[in-house]
Amino acid sequence: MSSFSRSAQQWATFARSWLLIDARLQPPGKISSMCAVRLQGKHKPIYHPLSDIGDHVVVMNTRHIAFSGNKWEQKVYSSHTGYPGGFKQLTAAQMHKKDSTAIIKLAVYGMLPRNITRRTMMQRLHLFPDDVIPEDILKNLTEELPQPRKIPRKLSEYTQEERDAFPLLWNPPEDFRMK
Amino acid sequence: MTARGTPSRFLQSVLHNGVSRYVCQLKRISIIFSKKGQGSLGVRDFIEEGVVDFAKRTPGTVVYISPQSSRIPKIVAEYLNGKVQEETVTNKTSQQIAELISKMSNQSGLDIIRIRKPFHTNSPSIQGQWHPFTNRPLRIGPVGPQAK
Amino acid sequence: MAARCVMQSVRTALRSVQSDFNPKGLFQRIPVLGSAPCRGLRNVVEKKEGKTTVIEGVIESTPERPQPPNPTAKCPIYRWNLQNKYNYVDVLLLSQFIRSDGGMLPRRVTGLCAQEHNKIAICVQMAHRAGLLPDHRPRLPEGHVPKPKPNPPLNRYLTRYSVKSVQPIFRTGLKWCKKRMPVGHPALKNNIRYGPKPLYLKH
Repeated sequence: MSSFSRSAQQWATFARSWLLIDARLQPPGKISSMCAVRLQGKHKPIYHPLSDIGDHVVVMNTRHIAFSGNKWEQKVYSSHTGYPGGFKQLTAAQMHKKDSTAIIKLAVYGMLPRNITRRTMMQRLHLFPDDVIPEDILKNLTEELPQPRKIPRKLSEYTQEERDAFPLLWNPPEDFRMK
Repeated sequence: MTARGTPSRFLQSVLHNGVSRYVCQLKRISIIFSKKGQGSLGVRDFIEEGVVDFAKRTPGTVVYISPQSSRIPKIVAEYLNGKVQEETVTNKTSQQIAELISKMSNQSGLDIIRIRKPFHTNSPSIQGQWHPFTNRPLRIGPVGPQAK
Repeated sequence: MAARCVMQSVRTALRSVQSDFNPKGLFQRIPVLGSAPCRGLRNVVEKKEGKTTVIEGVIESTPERPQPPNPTAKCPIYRWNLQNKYNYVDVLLLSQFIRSDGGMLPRRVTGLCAQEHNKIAICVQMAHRAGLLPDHRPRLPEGHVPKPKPNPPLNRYLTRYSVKSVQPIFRTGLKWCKKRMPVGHPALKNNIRYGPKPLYLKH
C-alpha cells in the first residue's frame, strides 16, 4: 500500500492529467483519434461512462500537419450558415489557411460521442498552431504522447557517413557523364 | 422494466458509519402479535426464546412487544433516518423471525434500490489503486517544446 | 531497331568527340548536394614533359563497397534482392537513380527492368511531393530569384497525383458509391508490410 492516505489516493486516481501531442508532420485523423480517446478517459483502467475522468489534451504545431494523398485539394469541409444560399464548401487547404487549428478541431469533434458532454470535452482540448504554449498550460503538462507516424528523414538530413555506408546499387559506365 | 427506468443510487453509508465506531441505525422495533392466533405461533415462540437475548445484544434498540387481539403478526422497524419498515410474519417459525430481526437491525435504513457501479473485490490490490503515474516510465524535467 | 542502334553509335561517337574537344565538361564536379556519393569522378592530373603538357582525367577509384547478394541479375534491384522492399521514404536508394535536377536517369544507363524503373519513378515522384529530396530541384536560370510564397507549403505524403491536377470532391456521393481519395500508388501494393494492418489505397 502506498504511503499516502486513502483519500489522497482517491484524488490521485481521479485526477485529470494534461497530455501533450506534437502534430508536426502527422496525419490529423490519427492525432484526432488519440485526442478523442484521451478526452473521454477511455485510456484509463478506471473508465466508466458515468464518471467524468477525461484528460486535458494539448496539441501543438497544428499548422504543420500532413495529409496523405491529395487530400489538401480533394477533401471538402461543408457547412451551412442557416440563411438561404448559405451553403459553404471549403477545401482542406483553404480551411487550413483560414484557421490552422480547424481541421484537427473538426476531426476531434466528429470523433467524440454525440451526447451532452461533447462540448465539455471539447473545452478540454487545447490547440496551438505553433509550439508557443502559454506558461500556465505548460506548467500543467505531465506527459508527451508518442507521435503516431514516424517522420521520414529528408535526404539532406542524412550524414555523410550514412550516405557512404549505403551500398552503390549500380555503377555507371566509364564514359557516362552524370548530370 | 429496464434498469434505466428504475430509481438508483450510488453505494453509500450513513455518515461513514462503521469507519471508526458503529452506531446501530435501528431505533425501535415493535413486535405485534395475537395471543391466541394460529399465525402468531412462531412469534410467541420467539418471544419466549430469543427476544430477551436480542434486546440484551442490541442496547441501542428499543424493543416493544404488543399483543393485540385478532391481529396479523408483524414486525415494525423504525430507523434513525425516519424510515419505517413493516414485515408480516404470519406462519413463520421462531428461527426465521430471529433471522429477519437480525437482518433488520443490521440495515442502515436507506432505500433498497439499484446500486450504480456495484463493483467489489474480495482481494484488494496490494500495490494500491491505479493513478495516472502507475506503469509510466520515470521522467525528470519539463514536458513541452522547450524540452527538445 | 537497326536505325536506333546506328543512332546510338553515332551519339556515343559524338559524345566521345565532344569530350575530346571540351574536356572541362567531363572534369566538372557535379553540383550534387544531397545525393549519394558521386561516382565516375575524375581527377585532373597535369604532366609536363618538356614542351608538351598532358592533361589527363584519371578516374577516382571508389573505395571498397559491399558486394550484391545476387550478382548475376541484370537489374540492380534484383541484384540486391530489393524487390518490393523500398518505398518513397528510402531516399538514399532513390537518389541513386535520379539526376541532380530530380528527373529519372534513363533506363539504358541504370539497367533497371521496366517494372522496377516504373516503381522507382513513382517513388521518386512521391518523395519529391513529400519534400524528401529538397536539393534535387530543377536549376533556376541565372540571376532569377524566386518569389517568396505567401503561405508555407502544405505537408503531404503518399501523394499520387500532382498538386495542380486534382479537383476538390464537392459531392462525395451516396454511401455505397462514394468518391474516394486515392492515397499511395497501386504499383506499390505488393510491398512487404511489417504490420498486421491491411493497405488502404482509397480513403
